[in-house]
Amino acid sequence: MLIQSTLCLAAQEIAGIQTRYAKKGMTLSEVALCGSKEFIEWNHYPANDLVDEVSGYEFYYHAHSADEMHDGEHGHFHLFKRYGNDFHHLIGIALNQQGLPVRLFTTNQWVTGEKFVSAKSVVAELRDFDMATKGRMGPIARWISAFTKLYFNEMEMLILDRDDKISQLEIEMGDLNRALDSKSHHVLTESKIDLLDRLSQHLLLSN
Amino acid sequence: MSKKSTVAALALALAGLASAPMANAADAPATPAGTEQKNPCGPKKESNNPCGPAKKKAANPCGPSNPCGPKKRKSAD
Repeated sequence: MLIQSTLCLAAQEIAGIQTRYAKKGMTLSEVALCGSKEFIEWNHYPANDLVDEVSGYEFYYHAHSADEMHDGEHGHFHLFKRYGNDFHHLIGIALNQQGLPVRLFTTNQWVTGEKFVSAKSVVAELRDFDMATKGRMGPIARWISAFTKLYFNEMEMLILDRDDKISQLEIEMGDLNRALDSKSHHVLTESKIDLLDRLSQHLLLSN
Repeated sequence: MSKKSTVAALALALAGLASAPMANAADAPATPAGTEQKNPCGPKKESNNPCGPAKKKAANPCGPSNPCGPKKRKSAD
């Protein structure tokens, strides 16, 4: 559980960054393309992902082929935590064409090739998500860091439910590895979100 | 600024934005210069080789760019 002041600061950061971009006529979805004039399915933006080698956190933005995208979604961020040669997928954050986050999701192991660890470990890594990034991707990194605070409870629930889903699949398929590699199970848990509503709840009344 | 006006300012600013163009397939034909794309936010464009073999999908389609860690710079010597 995060304290109210943390949520309030996160809400202020998100609203500030997104409003500044919007006033310049830019959606967060466009900013996530890192200045690229083309948005090509499956390509990563930025090309080699945004990596904070000190903290071990990294993320990138991309879109799947049109037939695999949810209606109204533009693309999504994938967030990771790395330990040497291993990495863990923390959460996916889908944006609509106005650059508003509309859905959170977790994925099966085969989707990212991650080293699958327990939900408890993933939640602990997510709780500390913070990237110190300079340059034009700095605001996006700050937006994502703040976003993981504002929606921490929902993300935690999705990650815990992910493990329940995997346990259920393991029973059905008779083997954990088969469950983790089940190509018919891509997104394991997901939930829709409403950022403007959430901001209304957490911005200070008196600020 | 009150919380209502902060959220309202964001909502207003977002309302004035054009939708970001959707992703194109890597092998989609480029729009000829000077011609406007009819449906810039529409579904995937037709492939150059619509009857060609389907591309093999990556084993881990959403994994990081460098699954074994960030590329190290070569040392000076």
